[in-house]
Order: sequence, then structure tokens, then C-alpha cells
Amino acid sequence: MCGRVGGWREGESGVPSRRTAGAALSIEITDLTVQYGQSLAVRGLSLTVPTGSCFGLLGPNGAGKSSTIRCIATTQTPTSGTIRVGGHDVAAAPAEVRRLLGVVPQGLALYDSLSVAENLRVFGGLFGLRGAALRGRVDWGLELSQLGAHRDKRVHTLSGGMKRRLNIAASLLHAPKILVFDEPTTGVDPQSRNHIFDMIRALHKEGRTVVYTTHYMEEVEALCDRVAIVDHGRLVVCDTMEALLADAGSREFSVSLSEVTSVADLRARLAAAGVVVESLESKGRSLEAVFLALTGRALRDAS
Amino acid sequence: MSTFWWIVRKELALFFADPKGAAMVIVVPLVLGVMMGFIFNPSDGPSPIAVVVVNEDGGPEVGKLIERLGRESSLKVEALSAAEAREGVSKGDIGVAVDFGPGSSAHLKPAAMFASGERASLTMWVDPSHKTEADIVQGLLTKVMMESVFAEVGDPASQRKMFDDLRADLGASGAERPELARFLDQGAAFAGENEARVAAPGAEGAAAPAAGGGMALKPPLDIVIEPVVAAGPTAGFNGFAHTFAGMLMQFLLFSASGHAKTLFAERNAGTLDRLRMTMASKAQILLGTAAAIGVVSMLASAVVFGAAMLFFDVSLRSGPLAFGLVVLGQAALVGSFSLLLAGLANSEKQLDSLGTMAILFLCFVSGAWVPAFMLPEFMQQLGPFVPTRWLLDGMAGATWRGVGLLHAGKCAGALFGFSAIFAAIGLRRFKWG
Repeated sequence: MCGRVGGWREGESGVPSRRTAGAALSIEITDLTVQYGQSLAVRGLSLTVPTGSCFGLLGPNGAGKSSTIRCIATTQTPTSGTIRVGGHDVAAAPAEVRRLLGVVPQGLALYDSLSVAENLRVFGGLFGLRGAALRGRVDWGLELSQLGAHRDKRVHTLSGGMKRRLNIAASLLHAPKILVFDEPTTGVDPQSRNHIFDMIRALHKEGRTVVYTTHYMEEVEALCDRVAIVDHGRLVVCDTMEALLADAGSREFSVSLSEVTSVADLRARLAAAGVVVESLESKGRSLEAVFLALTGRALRDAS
Repeated sequence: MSTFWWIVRKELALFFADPKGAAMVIVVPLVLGVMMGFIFNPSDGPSPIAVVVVNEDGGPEVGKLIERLGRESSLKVEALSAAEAREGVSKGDIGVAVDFGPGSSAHLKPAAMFASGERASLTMWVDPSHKTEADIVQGLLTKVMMESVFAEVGDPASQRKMFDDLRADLGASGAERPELARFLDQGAAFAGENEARVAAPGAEGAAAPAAGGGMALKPPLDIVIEPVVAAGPTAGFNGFAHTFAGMLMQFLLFSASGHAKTLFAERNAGTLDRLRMTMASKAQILLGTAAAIGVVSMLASAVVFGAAMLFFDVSLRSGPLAFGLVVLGQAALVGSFSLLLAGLANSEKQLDSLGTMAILFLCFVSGAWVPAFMLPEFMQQLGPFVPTRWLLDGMAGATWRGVGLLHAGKCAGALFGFSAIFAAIGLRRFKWG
């Protein structure tokens, strides 16, 4: 078991909900097994995603992440085991689960020949939004993805980063309580990636539970407070980020200094402060930091 | 708007997102219908069948016969040598050639009809791919030969000659068959008297002995051709109504096949998975896409038949309600057909082959290309089990036949039945991932 189950307050989604007040809201996976023919993709996986956490799900290719997410998203039937999302059994009440979940797929699952706004309208409508509520959420999605100026453009004319942002907004129109991001930054420029991070942080700050899968460890470090690592379809470890890093031995910190002139100067100052330093090396800014400093943080939406 | 209708709306939005492609779905069957209509329903009537005649006999009887053949409106007669005709047929340039061999004239006489023993013959050289034309030419040739001989029998002089010839043939054996010899002698005497009476000055029919001399032989019954259409005596067959229905059906089935392919494309792109993460059920997703192509088919039917009514004199003789019922049945069939293909095929390649094969079969057996009566017997018997036959029957009934609302309801009911089966198979067998 990993994490705890907690309560959730009702948001303002505009989506009709049949959920009873005070029901548990998180993801609980128990003994999940997924088998394709003779191949076992997931082997008895159990873990729980605490409500309100930003949960990183890590694992190499073929570890079973995607199969697990497909089961959570109700598009894959588990071979055995149970999954409960917000207290609802995925197999018994898939519609209730979908109401709570917003799954951002790894691929750009959009309709290229429709406009940005029409894509949002269609997915909003399919999530049960109607009339003014739908119009409001479409506007919200356009604002979230910063695509308001491109609302009538067809998706195939957008840049990769713009499509990624739209891909995210399309999954969040029904204001889901639990968000699942499956490698949402694949193939985007640093500006768009930063914007996506900001979106996720803002959504998490609003109290939503976030499950985030990626191959980029620095993304998980930057966003998540809890991490599960899976491999060969099994859970390897699941803990808070701090505990995981502490268990791994000594820590590395990256500190930007403006007043220190040399490594020797810093070592002297740390020694004076009573800090035991194992090793100390000087590094320039990261390439990404240099890139962002030179090109700015503003989104580049050349379609 | 329910989740189902959002799927339909999405599909229609995608369809009309490509306005040129959308227009093609309507314009192409219209163009094909016009083209086929002009081919099978020309304003100056059907084209005559080309037939080559070879006159190796050179006698007057064969000459007259060829002249009579040339007067047949269904035939276009051309005279060639035997070598040219055989070569033309063997190369496929000529469909049918009739060879009147040497001595044919001698047999084009009334007495030949009663001749016993070995019979004379003429030869028809036929390109095997023109068997239907050959059958028609054979029928017309037989008719013309009989008319020619009958005309001769009506002439008293020819009658007497026929009896004389038959009596001469009987010869010495007349002693063994005295009744026949007596009958022929009496016949010759009667014909002789008749000949003398007609030849007498002022006798009735003297001016036209060949036309009968008061005793011309004719078929026992004259044949009157009367078109019978339920819509009434003023109605007639409108070939455009048939070709528009056939071409529209064919094109809509191909569109359905293409639409099934978009389901595969959505599966590959991940949008199908994304739809499944919404409030839409699997059945709603698939039936919604089928309904959208059904809506497109209704729109195409309205435009195509609207143009057919405006410009090609096609009318809805059973009324708009009957036509609407059949169009609704067609929409259900087209939508469910796309689901059936998507359910049965495992890949786009399989879908291409399966779809083309199924559509060609359905169009062929339904008579969309060639009239159903020209199909082999077993294929004709397949009719009630082929939805497209019901569709074309319903369209004909609703348009030029004008057989009424009940017939349209029956055809639409059959189409809905087939559609339910197709949709059930498609829903059950479609592979989501």
C-alpha cells in the first residue's frame, strides 16, 4: 500500500454528479494483473494515490505504466484485480469514474480538421456539458491553453506545443477531480513545457489529484510530491519524494549564488556556517536556463 | 443534445470540414447516374444490334430475306464476305454474323417446312461474349424467315407449286401412302383453281396476290405491346430513376466503406480511446458514427433525386412519404454496412478488399449494373436475401413504378431488418484496441 485515502470538496465543474458527499476520492489499485495473450504486462500491482497529491508514476518502457493507466481510464479491462477511483469500482461504475477522471493521453488525440474551439465543444459535449456551462468551459479551456487567439484555426495548422496544450485542455473541460497526465510534454519546446508545468501546478494547487507519468525524471522532481516506480509490471517502490531521495543516500542541491566568486570562497563560507560538504563543484547555468533567458518564457505559437 | 447526438454532430462536422469531399459524395453519384442514364435510356431509343450477313448463296430468296432483316428496327445489318465476318467475330469486332451458305435459297420455300429427312441449315458465328445479342438475332431471324415463307404460302401460285413439289417428292412412294398422295393432289387442284380465280380480270385481290390473294397466312394472334405500370397508363419507365438509384446506392456503399476506415484511423490516432473516456458508451460511439453516414446518405438522396426530378423528369409516383421511407431504410443500411465492415475487418487492407468485394457483389446481384433477369438463375433467387435488391425495388416502387406506400413500407422494413443484423454484428465484433 502506498499513501492514504482522504475526502474531497465539491468543485464547480458544471458537470452533473451523482457522487455522494464525503465519498473517498483517490485511486486504489489492488492486485492488478493485465495479460495480453501470453504476455503479462502488469503483475499483481497494488498502490494508492492519495487525494490531493501530485503522484509521479515512473518506469522504463514496457514496465506496465500505460496498461495501468488504461485500466484506470476504463478503456482496458483488467485480467484480475480491482481499481477504485474516488470510491467507485472501475468495472462496476465506469461512467462515475469517467466523471471524476481527466486523462490526458500521450498521443495528440484531437480532430485535425476541426477548429480548436470545435474540438473543445465536442469533448465538452461528450462529457455532458450543455448550453452556457459548455460555452463557459470552452472559454476556460481556451484560456488555460492560451489558444484564445487561435480558437477558429483548424488543429492541423497548430504547432506541436499548441496541440499539446489543447490536448490537455480537452481532457479537463468537465473539471475532473483526478487528472492523469501520460507523458504530456513529449515533443514540445521549453516554453510550452514550462506553460504545461504551470498549468499542472495551478490545477494541483486548486486541490486536484494529479497522476503524472514520464520518462523525464527532472519533470517528476519538479512537480510531484509522491512517486511510484514500476518495473516488469510490479511495484518497485512507492513513497514521498523526500523519503525516496533521502533513502538514496547523500543529496545533491543546486543553488544559484550571486555573491560567491569561487568554489574556495563558498567552501570557506559553508565551513564557517558549520556545514559538512562532501564534494563541491562549480557549474554554469543549465542549457535550458540559458535558452529561456535568451528566448524568453513567453509561449511561441507559430502555427 | 445527448451524448449520442454529440457523436453524430462530431462526425458531421468532420464530414463537412472538407467541403469539396462532401460535395463529391453528392455530385459523383449524380454524374454517374446521368451518364448511365444516357447510356441505358437514350432519348432516341435503344441502339440497334449490329449483325453482319454473309450471302454465299446469291439467290433472290436470300436477298429478299436480308432485305427484310434490314427493315427490322432492332437490327443494324451489314453485308460482308465470309472471311471478313469470321475474322471480325474471332477478334471481337463483330458480335454476331449470319452465314447464308450456297443453296440456302432453295430451302427458303414453304415446302421446306414439311420436308423430312436431313434438314438444311444456316450458320451463326457468335462472339461468346455476345450470347444475349445472338439469342435476340436468332429470334428475329426466325421471325423474318417465317414471315417470308408465310407470304409465299399466301400466294396461290406458290401454294400450287408447294403442293406440286411435295407430290413430286412423294413420287412413287405415293402408292404406299395413298391418303397423303390424295391430300396433295386435292391441295394442288384447289390451289390451281384459286390461282385461276385470282388471275381472272376484275377478280378481288388480283392486284396483290403476294399479299394474300384472300388467303394470306398470318400468326394466329396479333401481339399488342402495352406498358403496364401501377402508377397508371400515362406513367412509363424512366431509366434515370433506375440509374440514379443504382449509382447512388453504389456510391453510398463505397462511402460507408470509407467511413469504416475512419474508425480504424481514429483507433490508430487515439481519438477513439479518448471518446471512450467520455460519457459516451461503446454502442453510442459506433452507432453515432453510423447515424452520421446515414444522415449524409439522406442528404445525398435528397439532392440527387431533387436534381433527377428537376432535370430528368423523374417523379415520386408513390408520394414523398413512400420515397422518404425507402430513403430512411437506405440510410440505416448504409450506416450499418459501415459498422459491419469495421467489425469484420481487422485492418485497413482487409477492409479495402472486403468492402470492395461486398459492394460489387451487392450491386451486381441487386441489378444496379445489369438487369436482374440477365443474372444466372441462382443469383436471381438470392434476391430476398440481398438488402440492395430490396433497396432498388423500393426505389423503383417509390419512383417510376408508383406501387404505393405499402410496398415502400415493406421494402423499408426489410432494409431495417438487414440493418439491425449488420449493426449487431459490427457492434459485437469491432476491435477497440
